[in-house]
Amino acid sequence: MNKKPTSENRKALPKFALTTLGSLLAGGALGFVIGLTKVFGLNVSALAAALSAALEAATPWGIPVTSVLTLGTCFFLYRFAAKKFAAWDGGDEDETSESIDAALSWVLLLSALQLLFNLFFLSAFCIYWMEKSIGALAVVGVFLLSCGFVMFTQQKTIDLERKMNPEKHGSVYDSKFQKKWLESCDESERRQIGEASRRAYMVTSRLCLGLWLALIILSMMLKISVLPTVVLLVVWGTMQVTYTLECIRLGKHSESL
Amino acid sequence: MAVILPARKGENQPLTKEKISLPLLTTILVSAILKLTRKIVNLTIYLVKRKEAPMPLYNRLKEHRARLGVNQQELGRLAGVSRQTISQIERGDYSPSVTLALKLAKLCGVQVEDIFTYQEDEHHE
Repeated sequence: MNKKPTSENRKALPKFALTTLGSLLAGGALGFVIGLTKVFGLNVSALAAALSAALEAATPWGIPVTSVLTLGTCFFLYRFAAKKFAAWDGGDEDETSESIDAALSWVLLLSALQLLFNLFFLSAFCIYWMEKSIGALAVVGVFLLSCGFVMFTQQKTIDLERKMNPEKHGSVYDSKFQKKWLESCDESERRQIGEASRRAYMVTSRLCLGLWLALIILSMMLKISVLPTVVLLVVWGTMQVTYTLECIRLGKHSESL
Repeated sequence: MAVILPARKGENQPLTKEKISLPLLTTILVSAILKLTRKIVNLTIYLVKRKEAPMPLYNRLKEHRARLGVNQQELGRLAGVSRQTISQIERGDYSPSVTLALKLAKLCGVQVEDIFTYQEDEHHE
């Protein structure tokens, strides 16, 4: 009989027990602090109202301001990468190509973040300002314009990436862009994508757990419904189920990624 | 809130902590925590890297590529991989699959063992 799993379990058990005990103590301490805030009358509702008012005031300016900051940074990063690429003779200087790749990756990251900001501030506008019907068309127009700039930035970045790597295929305007791009990646790049995806999965799992804890605590202090928790668990569950099912599928067939 | 400390020897007035402001204390505390976290992370990374076995595959791809007179981009194009992959293989950051290793050997006109050697074999020779 293979005793290895049992001995490995025995080795890991003390650390697991200590972590569980530590979490219990931390949770107990946190609960005690929450109780104290209620006893000493810390006005969490007033704090939440103040934050809400600040967000309401910032919402109409959110998209333009964040667009200028992020897309402005993207512009300078892209220009840096384009200049380096123009000066690069396609030789074997790893540092040059790595710096170009890094700059373009940052452009893609910042543009993706800007898209999230756009969605956030549009949602905030719908919550705070819709009933007032002030400038709804203008905000939607700014939202669409910003999204257009994001797409344009990503398109220029992908085009430069394809100039550097002629074997790559795909256009950002194509709905199957991700599939086509992945198909044009070689084994090393697919391994990197796999590692990056695994890391994203691990980080997101921990984040979801932390967010769930935060929502539980907030629900004790403020009147938030169960909806945020449900949304979080749907996202978390989808991620877990998709990851596991995909592992099962990949384990069954020998098809390559 | 002022905290009254007992008077030191030779002093008439009790000291208070009002001079030490809360933002300053918070800043000092936060920067100390950040420094400590950075040290812990660096130590963890160092310990993890020490545990990782060094890449056992030794390769002479760069030499053969120089003999062919092609750059990484060209060799990548011929082998059907990206320039970065060729660069990573030459640096030892990536071990190619059997298929890719065979392709590269064929392009260089040599056997696979002439390009890629298992490092333990090198030590035994």
